[in-house]
Amino acid sequence: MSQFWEFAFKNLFRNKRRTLSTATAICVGFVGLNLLGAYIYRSKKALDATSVYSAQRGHISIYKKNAVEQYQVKPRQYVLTKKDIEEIQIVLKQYGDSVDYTSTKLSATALISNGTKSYPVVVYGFEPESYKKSLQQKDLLLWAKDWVIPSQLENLDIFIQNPETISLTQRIGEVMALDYPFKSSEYLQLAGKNLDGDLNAINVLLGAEHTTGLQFLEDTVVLLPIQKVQELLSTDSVESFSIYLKTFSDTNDVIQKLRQHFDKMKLNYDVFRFDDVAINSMHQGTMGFLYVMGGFFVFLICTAVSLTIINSLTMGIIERTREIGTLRAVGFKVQQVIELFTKESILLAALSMLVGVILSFMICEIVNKLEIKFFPPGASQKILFILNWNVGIAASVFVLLMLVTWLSSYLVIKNKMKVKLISLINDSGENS
Amino acid sequence: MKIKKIILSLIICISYCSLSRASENLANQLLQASDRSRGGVKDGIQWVAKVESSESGEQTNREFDVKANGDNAYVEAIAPAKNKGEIYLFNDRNMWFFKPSLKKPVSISARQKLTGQAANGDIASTHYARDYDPVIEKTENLDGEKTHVLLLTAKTKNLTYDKIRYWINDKSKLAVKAEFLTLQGKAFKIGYLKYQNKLTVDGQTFPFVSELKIVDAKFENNKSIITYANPKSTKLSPSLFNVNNLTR
Repeated sequence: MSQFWEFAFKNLFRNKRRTLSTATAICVGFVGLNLLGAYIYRSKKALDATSVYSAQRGHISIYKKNAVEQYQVKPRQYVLTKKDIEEIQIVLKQYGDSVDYTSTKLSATALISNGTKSYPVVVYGFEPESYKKSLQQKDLLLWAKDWVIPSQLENLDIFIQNPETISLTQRIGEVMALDYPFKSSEYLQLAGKNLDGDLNAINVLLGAEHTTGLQFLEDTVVLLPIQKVQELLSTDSVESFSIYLKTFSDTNDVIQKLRQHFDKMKLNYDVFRFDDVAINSMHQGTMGFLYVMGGFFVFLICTAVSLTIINSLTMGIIERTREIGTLRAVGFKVQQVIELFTKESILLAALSMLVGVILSFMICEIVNKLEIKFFPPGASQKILFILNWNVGIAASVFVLLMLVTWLSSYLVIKNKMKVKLISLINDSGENS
Repeated sequence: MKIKKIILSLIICISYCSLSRASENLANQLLQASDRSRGGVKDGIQWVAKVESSESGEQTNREFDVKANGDNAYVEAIAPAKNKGEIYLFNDRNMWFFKPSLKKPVSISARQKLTGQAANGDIASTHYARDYDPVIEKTENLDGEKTHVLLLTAKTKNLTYDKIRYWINDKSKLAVKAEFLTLQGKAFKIGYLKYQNKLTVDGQTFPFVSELKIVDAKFENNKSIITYANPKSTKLSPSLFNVNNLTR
């Protein structure tokens, strides 16, 4: 068996130029897919981290049944009351090992006013303690540092110290003609309909800033401690309950158990994963686009690699027709000849991809070191172009291209083996 | 022959212009007269507005003390207790909301829903003659009485409604019905007015609005009834309508 590998290896050097060009094509395809995979992997990790921690959704969000569709229309009927929260917390005690911390959220539409001008905004209410914990999470700082403003990390306790503090984006500050950086001595007003349908207004203290990371939300979203949002809406209820797990990998398991538990106890709650399209269409939309784009490139590169191997092998077979005939004449079985040629291609692909592993890793490192900034579509500001080289992706691409190589070479040589032995021996190789 | 034709054309043009001018004048006169009975007077007046709303099966009741003087209005919530002290200030065409706990008043829109079907702008005095361009569309019989149907188009963007179709009784010069229209001209709310109050200003007594029923054009069960009680002429200080005085 090892002799076959040895033969195959030696055969690679019979036409060095062709071997090199085929190897280059496979290597470039491998590197391309790896870099694309590294970008998609980074994007997914960044979106996951921002969805869970920046947007305060947690790994799991619990809403009143149908609240996602109905909360904006009939908020009073679709909030989670204190009793609901207690019920959820009792159920959650069973998953204590998986849960890191929990929090609640409440959103409202309102007018923000500085006494002379009013501007419509969406207010996201959060618990100051969980805000602090979320911003300190390793995953967020590792994958989505661009979406956290330095002042947010410097003033982690600002909402705990003063729950009247509101966080604005720089864009809203510009619209409201506020001095930047925001001073904590200025009071603004938030006015909006409370859950009874009456107009209500509260005072909020300027002092914190954030970024949504998204262009279309940058002039819309303000952050405020939940107790102030409750004051604005004249309620002690919340919109959703967020569960932060110790690891991402537990998410699906805990969701499944929670759903079963709620069904069994006939509790009317909806449980969502952080990237569920119902609560996070942005995540689904972005990743969907990246996956489609990735799939398209995988198809293109696999086709190119396959055609290169078919072309190279066909040329080789034409030149080595007599050799194949001789091998068959001295007792080699059809399957053994196929194996020999297939092993040549597999060996070539493996060596090319090993070089590709080193190349792709080096390109990722160089690109990351260069700290290139770019505007991703729909982003509110430039972010670092980071490529996260990943063993899993490299292994997947390796296996995929190996399969493509094996299949392409097998089909070519199998086809040639249909020719009769006498025709193979007689073939000069130049006109077959 | 040519001169005759020119003279005839001139006569037709002048007649047409005069007629359209007369129609415009009539529309403005009707609007001014109807505004007077809805609080649009130069002198200070005061009344209590009770708003009973029914929406999606839920009932709400609100009560406001309205003080109006010319283009300004000061509306203070007096019931229910939780809303007591809330103030809506109409300063010309600008509108402000204030409550005692606020450090500064909030600029709000007259279009915003106040309660039920009533918009913020519906509770104050009406100045349609100032705010809208009227055109007489037609004349029709409504409840057996001759009524002019006016199409009102907003002069500025910050008014309560973009367009209104307004029925004014020919004899009494009182508005009896209003269709509040979208920019595309579709009615989304319909208002019905009654005048059982009397108001005396400068020795002149005239009917004053007693009820405005606003019904959702699509869902008739969603409605608000604004009842106007105790209208009276009163002297009001201009400082009452100064937004800066709200916080003092």
